[in-house]
Amino acid sequence: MNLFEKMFNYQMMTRLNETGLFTWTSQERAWLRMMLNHPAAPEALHPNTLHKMHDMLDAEQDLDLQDYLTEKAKSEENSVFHPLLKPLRQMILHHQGFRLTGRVRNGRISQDQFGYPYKLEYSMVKKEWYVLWYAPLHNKLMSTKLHSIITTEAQPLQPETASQYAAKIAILTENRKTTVTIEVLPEFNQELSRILYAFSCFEKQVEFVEAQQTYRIELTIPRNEMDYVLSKMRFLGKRVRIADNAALRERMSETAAKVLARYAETELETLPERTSGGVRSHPIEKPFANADGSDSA
Amino acid sequence: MAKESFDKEIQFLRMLSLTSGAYNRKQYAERLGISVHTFDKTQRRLKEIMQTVADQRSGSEQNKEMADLVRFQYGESAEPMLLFLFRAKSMKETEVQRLSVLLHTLQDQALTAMELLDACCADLPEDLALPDEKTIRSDLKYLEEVGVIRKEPGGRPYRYLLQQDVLTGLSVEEQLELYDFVDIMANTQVPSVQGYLLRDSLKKAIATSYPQEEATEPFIYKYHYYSRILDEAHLYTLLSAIRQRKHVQFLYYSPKKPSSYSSQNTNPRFEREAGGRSNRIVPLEVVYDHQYGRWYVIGFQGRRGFVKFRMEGITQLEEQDSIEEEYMLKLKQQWAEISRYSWLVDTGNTVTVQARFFHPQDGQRNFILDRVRLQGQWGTITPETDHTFLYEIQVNGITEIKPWLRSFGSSCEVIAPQRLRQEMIKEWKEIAQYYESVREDVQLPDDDEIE
Repeated sequence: MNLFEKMFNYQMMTRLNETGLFTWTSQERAWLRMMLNHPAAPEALHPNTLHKMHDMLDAEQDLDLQDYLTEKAKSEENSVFHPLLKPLRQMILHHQGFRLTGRVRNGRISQDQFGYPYKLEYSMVKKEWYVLWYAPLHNKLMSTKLHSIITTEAQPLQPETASQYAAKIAILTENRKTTVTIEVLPEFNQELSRILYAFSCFEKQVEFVEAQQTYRIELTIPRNEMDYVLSKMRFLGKRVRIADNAALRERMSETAAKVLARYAETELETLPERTSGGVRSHPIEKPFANADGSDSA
Repeated sequence: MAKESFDKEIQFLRMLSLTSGAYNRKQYAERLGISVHTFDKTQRRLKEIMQTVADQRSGSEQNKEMADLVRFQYGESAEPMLLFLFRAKSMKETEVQRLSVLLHTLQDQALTAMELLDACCADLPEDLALPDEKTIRSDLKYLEEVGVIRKEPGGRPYRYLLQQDVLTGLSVEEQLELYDFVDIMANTQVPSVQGYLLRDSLKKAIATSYPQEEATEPFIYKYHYYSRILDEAHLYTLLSAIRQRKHVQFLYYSPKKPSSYSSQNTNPRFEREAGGRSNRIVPLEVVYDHQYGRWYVIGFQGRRGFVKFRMEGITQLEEQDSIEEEYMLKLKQQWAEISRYSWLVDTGNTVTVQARFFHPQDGQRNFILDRVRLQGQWGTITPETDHTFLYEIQVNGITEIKPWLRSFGSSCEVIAPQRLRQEMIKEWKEIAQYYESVREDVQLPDDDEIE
């Protein structure tokens, strides 16, 4: 299987597009056939569609990749599909609003909220689908896990209203963006490739300060994703440090202090009690009821 | 096939997408090991392709810098810009013309080679030399081989027809359903290049029935490793070599110096390697690492034993002579045994790692437990107290699991082995030092409400 086939060439593609000609190669069919064996296929495709696809692809080559290709450190994947994707996708396609009832934090139920859905987002990290929507009542962008939705019902909207919402969404999305600059400690420059791979899932800009041989990575992220960046920072450990953001630097500093206190505490506990009644009477620094772990990664 | 040129383009694109903005053209050229002239030429060529492909989408990319074009833009679309690497193969203009005339002619009817020759002669622009029968036959053979067209049942002279059942056999709604499925699978599963290519064609096919943008861009994916598709360029060569039991040879450029991840005690010489070295291996397995979005190939290399290479460093990959089935099977079994407890690809000594995890504050959803369940691979979870649980796993070496454990911050305390515990403490002390000067009273900016 050669991914550099002439058929995939950009000039060919441009030429064929002129008349809307559809071509598919046996490679693409073999890939699709493999994907149809994934447990998500019967959930994502109507039985008729699935049946037709199987018929069409029956004669195709079987890729059998599982014998040669191993995926490591993968999150367990409950499902890559969710039944609400289809109705929500239709609402987005037709610029409809919705009324939504769902479970929110602390087991509360939020009743019948009105919103305008604009994207369906899958988190590769949490392996969950979310609907991103705009709540006109509060002028806020919301993100709701499909698993927490109890009911959702389409609401017709005037086209003008829908485009007003779309404009609001663009502004709010832009407003919630922020940047974080991360510095690679020069002694870890030889690990740069690994570090950059780890950050390759973010929008970013890299700067190289030649005089100090220092790489600075500027990430552009939505503000509510800070916790995920922090978890990446902890993942990479001492190779990187946050260069510019006081709040995040404080969070990292706090985490380090809490971790060290955690270890110090158990070290103390395991010490034999040499001083009679002494150990416990020392004021041990109260350790953080508030575990810093964040909902991320 | 001009293999070197793709190798260069892959490295080029990887460097641009990973380090966008870091270097000037001279520095880029130096790091890629090419002349500034070649750098400029490659950049011009890729930019031209990019614009041809991108123009159809937005039409406003004219003045963007190359690095901006390949930059990952989250939130706007699931469009994989690096895909155009696989669209970059050079072709003669005459061939492009001929093949597209052939396919267009076959769009509505099945035809014989001679009928197609006539059609070609009639449809090709006058300034092009007319093709002969032999050329047409070899074009048809190519198109049939890649599966774009097929012969109609029946005897000679064969009639050819376009494979487009997916359009003719599916209703408009079903096509959209299939598009969604392909989009989701290409973005969430590996390998994905064929899926992205198919997504591209389907996208155009459904555009006539669904012209609005919302039809083709309803989904976005966070946070996935976007540059992984570049390494798929080598994937099929390697998989086919494994399947057919062939040696492979390649020139390996170690990504800077190999980190402790790539290889440990099985392969001490490799660690000292500088790069650009020729290697001949018996390929056994390809490993995709979800933690960083990188690909590895595992092989056997005579005296050096089992070796691991990152796919990003592989160039000039070539298939060679074959290996006896029995020998290959034996190696595969050995490797399966050795790597059974590898968090990724580490084959160090097997140790039992034990860690205590702390539940989040009262009233919060237990996302720590959820995450350990989700990502903890084959480790076991045992409830301990009301606010803690224990996690235990057997792994080969501690290097690869360490970052994951560390990413939990103070919600995780390593208990055993003692060495890992000590390393953890040491590292957190160092990290604490980085931020020692921070003591101002600062607050995180208010978040937008989520959920």
